Amino acid sequence: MNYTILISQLLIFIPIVVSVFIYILNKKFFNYSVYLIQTLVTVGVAWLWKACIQEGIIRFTLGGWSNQIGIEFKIDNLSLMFMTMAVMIWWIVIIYAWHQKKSDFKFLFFLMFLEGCFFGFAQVNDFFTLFVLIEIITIISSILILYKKDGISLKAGLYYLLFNSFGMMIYLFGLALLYLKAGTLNMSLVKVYLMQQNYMLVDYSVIQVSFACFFVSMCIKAALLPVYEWLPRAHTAAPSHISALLSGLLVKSGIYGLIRILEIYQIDSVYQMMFYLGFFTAISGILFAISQKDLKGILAFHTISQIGLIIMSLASHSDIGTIGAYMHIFNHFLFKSLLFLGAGIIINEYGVRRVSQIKGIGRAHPVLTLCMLIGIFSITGAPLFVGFLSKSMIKLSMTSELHLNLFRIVSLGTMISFIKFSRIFFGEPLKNKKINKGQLTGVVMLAVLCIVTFIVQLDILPSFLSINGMYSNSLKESIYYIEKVSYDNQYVLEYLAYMGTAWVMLKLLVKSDSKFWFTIRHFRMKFQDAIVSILLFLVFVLNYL
Amino acid sequence: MIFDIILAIAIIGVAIYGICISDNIIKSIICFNIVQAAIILLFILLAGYSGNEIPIITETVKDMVDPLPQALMITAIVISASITALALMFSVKIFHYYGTLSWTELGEKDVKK
Repeated sequence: MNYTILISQLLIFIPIVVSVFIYILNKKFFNYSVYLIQTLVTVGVAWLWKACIQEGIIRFTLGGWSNQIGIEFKIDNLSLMFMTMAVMIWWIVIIYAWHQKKSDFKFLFFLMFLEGCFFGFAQVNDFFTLFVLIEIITIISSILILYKKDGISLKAGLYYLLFNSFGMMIYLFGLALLYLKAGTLNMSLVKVYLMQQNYMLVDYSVIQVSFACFFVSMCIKAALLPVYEWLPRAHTAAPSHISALLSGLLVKSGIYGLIRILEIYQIDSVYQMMFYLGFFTAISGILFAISQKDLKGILAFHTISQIGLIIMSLASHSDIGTIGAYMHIFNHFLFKSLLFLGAGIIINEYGVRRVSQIKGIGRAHPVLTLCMLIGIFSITGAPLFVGFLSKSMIKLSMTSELHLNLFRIVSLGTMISFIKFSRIFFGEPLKNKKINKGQLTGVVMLAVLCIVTFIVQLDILPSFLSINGMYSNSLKESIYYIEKVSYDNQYVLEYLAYMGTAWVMLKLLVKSDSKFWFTIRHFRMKFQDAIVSILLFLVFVLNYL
Repeated sequence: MIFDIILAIAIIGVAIYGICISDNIIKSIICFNIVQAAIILLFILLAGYSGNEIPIITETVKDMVDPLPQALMITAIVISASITALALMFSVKIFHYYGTLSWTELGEKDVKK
């Protein structure tokens, strides 16, 4: 147990301390220590997995204070999942970007510092430390977004920084109200306090206001419908490996916070709203994605639609829905980073970002095409690919026929936008340059991870769930069901039918470059309007509760 | 007591109004700073009514102010300062690049490209 405590702290300190040395020493050979950090961190996370599976949830307080005022750490299955994701994506980003960035000590400093902060973020069990770490993550990722230092990325970085820190100000306001009522900021103690309040039927209004503040600020981090304006800007402007990091992992930090807050407050009236919030987020993400002509723009808006899907799954407020959301967070992380990195290679090589100007990737680069096709099949939920498992889980969690139909609309829309995307693979190749080996290695690693995850995910799931004691009978049945159907031909036919419908709809809807799509493509919210939309969203949530 | 809190909330309201109407990036950043300062003020005010004396433990102190919010807010001030510094640095670079600091004009340049 002692080693476990030490390791979970070292996970935060090793990347930060070594990254500071990288910055100070500024020597080329010392930059190789990022591989050392990564190895140590991988071993550490593996140790935590082992300890958690043996002993259950790990909790301890730093510095010997009582947990009412000290910083408490708690490692449960959700935080372990996020740490695993972090380890994977950092390995891949380093391998992918190594040939460009190996002597760039500033980039490596920010990258490794961010990793340490992210490990802290995933483990901490305290509202204020969560706030501090989210702010640090926001600051460092905005620096990484504008790393190219051209005009668009500067604007995107500023927009990202101010928009997200406005959200965190709302969070701080909620924090003040919560502290006034509960007298502590430790999540577990707040949960106990709120349960007592519930039984005593005391006035609940201040708590509700604080919940609304937390909810809205986490929605901003997770890019839900009225407040997602920062995401497409940041993702299209950033360099590809940073877009993969942002879209794969850092967007989900908002969902992580959302899951934690919903778990603590347990306000039932919010779930109905969350479903429609997720649905409209997904639909608007799809509409924008279909209208885009930019390669990374399609992927960025598509991230929004998948976030909507995850929220729809969470909103069912059942075991199956929560697990479906967890699975989809992980799977979406895999295939969306894969697609972003692949798109980065293509953009690097051709120097253009328009989908219509890129042709013939299929013949020029078969390995890259194979990997990206794995990503596309996964994201559209084809059988025998990883997206199928999580989408079936989400499908099982839908409670009524209406919800199920809305889910089908969302998955149809996903296919439409990706048929448009897949046009780049066909046709005659324009020119045939060699791809850098390191970049290709990163993409291939992710593709292999996709396949491996498809094979082992359902087998790992029971022991993963037993850490929190969430493994119920209904879950057991649904896992068994998905295991059975994942090799069924009936679903292949269904998928092909969907694909055909999507193809026809794409031809009917998008072929004429009408004014409607033009308006959507060039729709950008001004900064002031975006802030007003945050405030309106806050008022809406307050009214709804 | 209630007057102080109303004042702090009023400052927050005024500064948010400032963010919503000002077109200049520098003005937006100043308003951001004011919002953050006002929230920090509010937090300290809310916790400050719990006692009468300074939170330094000696033998005579009995009715001490809760020290935790003050410790937390120092961290929040540091974060607010670093965000302001970074945002100002961005706006300087944006001015060098585009020659303007107006949100509207920057948005128009976006569409043209």
